Amino acid sequence: MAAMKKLERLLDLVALLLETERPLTRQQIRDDLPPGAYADDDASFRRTFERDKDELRDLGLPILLEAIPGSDGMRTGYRIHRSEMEADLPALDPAELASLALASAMVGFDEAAPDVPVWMLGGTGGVADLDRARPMADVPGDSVVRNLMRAVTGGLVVSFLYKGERRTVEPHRLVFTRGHWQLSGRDRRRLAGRQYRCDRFESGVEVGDERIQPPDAPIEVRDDHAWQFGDAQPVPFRLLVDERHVTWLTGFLRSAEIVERRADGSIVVEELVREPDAFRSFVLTFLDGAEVLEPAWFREEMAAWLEELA
Amino acid sequence: MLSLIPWLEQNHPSGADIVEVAERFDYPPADLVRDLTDVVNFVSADPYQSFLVFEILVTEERIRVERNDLLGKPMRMDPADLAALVAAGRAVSALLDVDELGPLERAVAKLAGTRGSAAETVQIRLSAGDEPVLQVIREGIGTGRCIDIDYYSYGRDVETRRVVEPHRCLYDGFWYLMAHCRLAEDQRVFRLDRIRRADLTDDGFHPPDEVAEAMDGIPVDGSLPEVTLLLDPGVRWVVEQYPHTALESEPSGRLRVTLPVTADRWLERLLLRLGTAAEVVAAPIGLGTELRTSAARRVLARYR
Repeated sequence: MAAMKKLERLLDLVALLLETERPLTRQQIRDDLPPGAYADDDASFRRTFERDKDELRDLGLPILLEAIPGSDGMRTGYRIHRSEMEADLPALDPAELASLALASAMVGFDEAAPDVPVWMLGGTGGVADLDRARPMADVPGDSVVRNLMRAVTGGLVVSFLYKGERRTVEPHRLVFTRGHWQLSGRDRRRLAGRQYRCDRFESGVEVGDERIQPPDAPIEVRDDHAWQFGDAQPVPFRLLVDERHVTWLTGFLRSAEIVERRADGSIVVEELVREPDAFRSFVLTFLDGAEVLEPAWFREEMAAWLEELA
Repeated sequence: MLSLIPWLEQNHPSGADIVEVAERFDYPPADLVRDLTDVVNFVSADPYQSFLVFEILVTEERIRVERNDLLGKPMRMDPADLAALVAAGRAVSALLDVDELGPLERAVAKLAGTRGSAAETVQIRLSAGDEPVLQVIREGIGTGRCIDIDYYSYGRDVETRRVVEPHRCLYDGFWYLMAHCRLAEDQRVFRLDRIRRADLTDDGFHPPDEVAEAMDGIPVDGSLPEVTLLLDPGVRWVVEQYPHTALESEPSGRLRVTLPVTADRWLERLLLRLGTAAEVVAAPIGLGTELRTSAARRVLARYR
């Protein structure tokens, strides 16, 4: 597994130390962070952790070392008290402010923002070779998205029209992925977790006054493929793909396992499928550059579908 | 620029000569003034950065940085704005191939503990698993060197080897490269996940003065051949996903849509995916039902 980037590791560490109700030992922190956050070997984990802790303290994050309750003061652990973090925002220096502003411009939140020279981020050491200026992504920031941001950060219940129906949702996450904003949360009518694509809202978003408690187990936005959604039991499908499609297919599927590499450069991948119709649609985008091998019943269905069109 | 602003503040609180600054920072004076002005405009124009409060005053000969009183003091900010900024900062940082904390990473880490941003409630994911190719392309853009690629053309369903002059990368659901293609001798847009191999060459190029602001969309001005389909209501996604030149609802509930056709292979895929939920009602010769039939037979050959 590739090493996690330092910033991501630090953010995970901050989130963990904020969420915990008891001080966490170094080993607990190591166990609770996602795999790949720290090196496997003990000495380098310890070194890196100590450095991370110092760096976060230098940035003004109040990481405290406290006695662990019930250990008679024998054991100590780390945590951040939320109350100490929620006062005013921390002061940022001009470079930090400018960098954030540029990052926001680069993801293209605001159509009105003029060209911004990206080389100004050169201070980070890596961005100077990015192409100059202009937003590099087009992340829409319309009123639907703005209202959802307000709701999701403030824990406010929202309602909107979706697929012809008025939805009332306790919002948990708002994530821009695969080119679209997705909202996840708890649908009050269905009493279940749901995910909504924001460009498919059929009305504006009404943000109510009712505030929800932060959920213990928030419903995360899934950026799964269409054939992975639904409540059906997942079934392993095997797909043979010609060499010319291999690079993008493996990048695109990500979760698929390559079960065979053939001499002609083609590969067989196994993918878990809940929605066969959606998977058929995907397979047909390869035209004659791919074929379903298993399960046999689905191979037959593919053939029958094509025969009807031939 | 990041070092320039603090340098100006510290050493020339009453302003500095533009030419001197340009020489010191090795930047053409005209560009310097333009970029500084852009920053000022940008900072004041963008509602997300309304708290960015340093001001840069540019006169004919001198530039001066003025700090707003708020800078350096604790700020107050709407949690939604904060979450958006942190999400943008994280997304951009994730694309940088550096691992130490620069100003961007420091800013994100400082803000990470504050309410609204801590719980990852708002996220922007721009990564798509093709980072190695992206790194090679960035290096090509940064150093003005050509890139040798094997590229799978989706529209034509063939792979070709080409040398391209990389100009700009852009994310729009996928990562794209805007480049001059030496094989086509023209501007082209390449989707990064269809680049099977990318190698930096020693061959340099002169970057163009202007790079297109965005990818050209599919023209809907009638310059491309068009097909008209009758769609069952269940495949309405076609209308949402593809540009069209005409759309009508039939009394039966079906949709009559006219689509420009960029490539035969694209239409083949669409018609095979839609199956009997789509009926071709008008098409130029060679782009109608016969195209679907021949494509279906070709794919079926793999199953029989």
